[in-house]
Amino acid sequence: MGAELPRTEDDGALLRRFEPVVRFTKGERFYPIDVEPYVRACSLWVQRPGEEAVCVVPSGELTLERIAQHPLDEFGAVHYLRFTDPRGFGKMETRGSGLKLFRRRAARSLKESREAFRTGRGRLARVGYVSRFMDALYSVALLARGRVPGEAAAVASVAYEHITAQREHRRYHGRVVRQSGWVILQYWFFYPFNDWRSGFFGANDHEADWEMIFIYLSESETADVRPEWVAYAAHDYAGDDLRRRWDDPEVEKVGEHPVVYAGAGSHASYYAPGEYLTEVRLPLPSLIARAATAVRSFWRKRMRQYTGDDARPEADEISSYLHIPFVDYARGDGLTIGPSQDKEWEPPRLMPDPAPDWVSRYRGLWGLYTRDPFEGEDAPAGPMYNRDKSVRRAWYDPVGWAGLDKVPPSAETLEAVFDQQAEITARCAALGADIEDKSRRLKKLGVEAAAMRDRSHLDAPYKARTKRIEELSKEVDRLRGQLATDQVVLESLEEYADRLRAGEREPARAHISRAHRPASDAELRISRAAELWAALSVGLMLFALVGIVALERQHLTSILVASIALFAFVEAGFRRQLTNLVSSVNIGLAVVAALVIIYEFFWQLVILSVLSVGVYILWDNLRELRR
Amino acid sequence: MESSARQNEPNILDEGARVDKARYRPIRLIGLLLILQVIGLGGIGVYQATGVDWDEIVSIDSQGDVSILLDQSGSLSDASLEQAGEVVVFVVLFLPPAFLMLLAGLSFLLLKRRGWLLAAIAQGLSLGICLFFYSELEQSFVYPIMLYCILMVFYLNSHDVRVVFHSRRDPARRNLKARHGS
Repeated sequence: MGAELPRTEDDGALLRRFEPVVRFTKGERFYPIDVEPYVRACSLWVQRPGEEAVCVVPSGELTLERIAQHPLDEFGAVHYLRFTDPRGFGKMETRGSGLKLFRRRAARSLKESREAFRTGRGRLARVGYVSRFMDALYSVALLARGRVPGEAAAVASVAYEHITAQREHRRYHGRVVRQSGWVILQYWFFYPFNDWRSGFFGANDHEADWEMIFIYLSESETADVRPEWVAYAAHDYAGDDLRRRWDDPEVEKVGEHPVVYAGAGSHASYYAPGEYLTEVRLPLPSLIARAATAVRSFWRKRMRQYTGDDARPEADEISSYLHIPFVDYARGDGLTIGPSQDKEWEPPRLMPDPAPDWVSRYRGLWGLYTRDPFEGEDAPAGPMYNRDKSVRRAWYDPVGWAGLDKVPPSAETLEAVFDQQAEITARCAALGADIEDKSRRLKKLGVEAAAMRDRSHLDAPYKARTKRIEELSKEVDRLRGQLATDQVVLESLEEYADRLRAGEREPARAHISRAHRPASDAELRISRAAELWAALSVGLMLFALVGIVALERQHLTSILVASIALFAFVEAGFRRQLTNLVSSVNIGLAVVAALVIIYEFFWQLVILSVLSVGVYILWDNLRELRR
Repeated sequence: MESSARQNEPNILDEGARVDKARYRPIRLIGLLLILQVIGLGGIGVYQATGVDWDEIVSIDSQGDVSILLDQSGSLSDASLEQAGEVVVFVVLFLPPAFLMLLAGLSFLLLKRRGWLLAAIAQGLSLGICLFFYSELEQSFVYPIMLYCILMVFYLNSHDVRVVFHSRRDPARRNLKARHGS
């Protein structure tokens, strides 16, 4: 029943040496636990295409060994665990009337959580109309799409209490991987339930939640290890923006233990405490997205018009038209788990290589399968798999997952520079020899062609030689260009090696293009009026639209324009975006006015354009004559 | 407090010699263009006003009292009324944007960045009024104003102009950001 002891003592000791300190938000109801008691409390189900879901193993009979034995099934079949089945709850109760007791405990748990947690300034007040409208649609769509039942969080809370009452424990699941010179410590946290939506106004609820943080160590020749990077997982993000260098001031540490701020309900991991605006992005149809990107690019590059932050990629901006905002509260003002904290970690359950069967052989979901087309309400698969049963990148390529595949451990950096220098030097030598050889051939061909010129009987071979000369000349030109570039790169490598020898390092945050930051004080100072407006605006706009259509049809256009202008003006005022509003309105008016002028003076404009071109050509030619 | 706030209002050329003055030439140019636009609007207004036979409409007696002349049927002639009405509408509608343009133009000439929003609002109002005149009164004088406003809107919104204002929005915060390397 207990956790497997570390297979290799070193790995276990390494995990414990750097194990994180996790700070939760007040109101959090679920903390990392061991998978074993969770699985024991679950039932195993299978959902085959076009059939009702079938319970394969009832709750109380499932174990980690048994979960790994589930048979292969037909295409489209989904195996899943079910943790929050109120029907099975009675089995867990040992006394009293199960349902009544459950209700009382669920209500108490919910009340405690609500009392402890206070929402921050409204998420809707931080975004625009389109996002608010999308949010409303998203909420309405929840009624139609599959979702975790309303009482699930309460049932899960009681079941979780039941598990921890039997034996209170806080445990993570550890794995140590060696890849590309890195020793990667993987800390996998398993939460029985994600109540982000029902508990903290977030995007989704789902049974089971796997979160992880990785620490990347470099190993010296004396087998001593040094932490160099950390990567915290948050909402399926991956790549360079995910990781921080160990000496980055943003990475808070308690001794050698990095501090993680866990999002309330979502359990996403953050480096700093705060309220994070997280966006669920709904992709535009590709045709529309491409057209919008092209128009925006033309507007910005050809027309040289201002479009805001130049650093954001255009495609990113376009896709951001359709996003739904959610706030992830990672305040860190609740329970803290970690060495010398409110609660300590128990020895981890290790996942050594080859992975235990419960990790590698169970490819199903770790909680309820709701058949949600957006998958947000479906439980995740295990640490090794994605929901579609493919292997997670974080599992098979933890280095590439955090964008570290291009970064050698610092002890190996100088060596990598020397290797690259040697490779480029060898390439330069080969290029030099190739250029010499081809230049010699080029000269010979040139001499040959010169000798053949004006000899009518050698017309065809002359043309062939000329063509060959042209090709060879281009080739030599390309090789010389490559050689010149390589030589410049060599110089840069030499300078870089000098800097490394002098102990200089890259800036700690040079690799980050868009850091995930908590809301600033200014953003959090959104007034109550702005919040109220954000909450009411979309509904009011719809009421106004219906009212105008029903009552004022004779002045429909003008009243509609006036209403939209009023809404936009109030909105822009609240969001301090009056400048953008004025700019957008002006551009709209300018385009309409330009169309009016083109319509009224089309032929005059055509004649004027032709005359202008004529005058310019005349002026240009005459200016040349004067010289 | 007010005066100290005014003193703190950033002049674009503050932070002195390090700033490339040539970068701010477009600002002075916009200032001049705005003043020119005000003069142009004034000119059109005067031209419109001179086209109306005011003697036919208004009389001023020896004591300086103004009275409106009516025809035998006791009303103004339609043509006179229409002409005078259009002039009045023109003046009433274009007076606020012209005033804003003047303020913005002077502001730009003094290199104060607040002129941008005033100028933009003025151009928007002018364009809106021109479109109103075009749709309701079919006046030909609106076309040159429209054309001028279109060019001004695009120039005001051009990257080179906007970036001057945005780059100086909050020097303190920019310095702080630079110090923290983010």
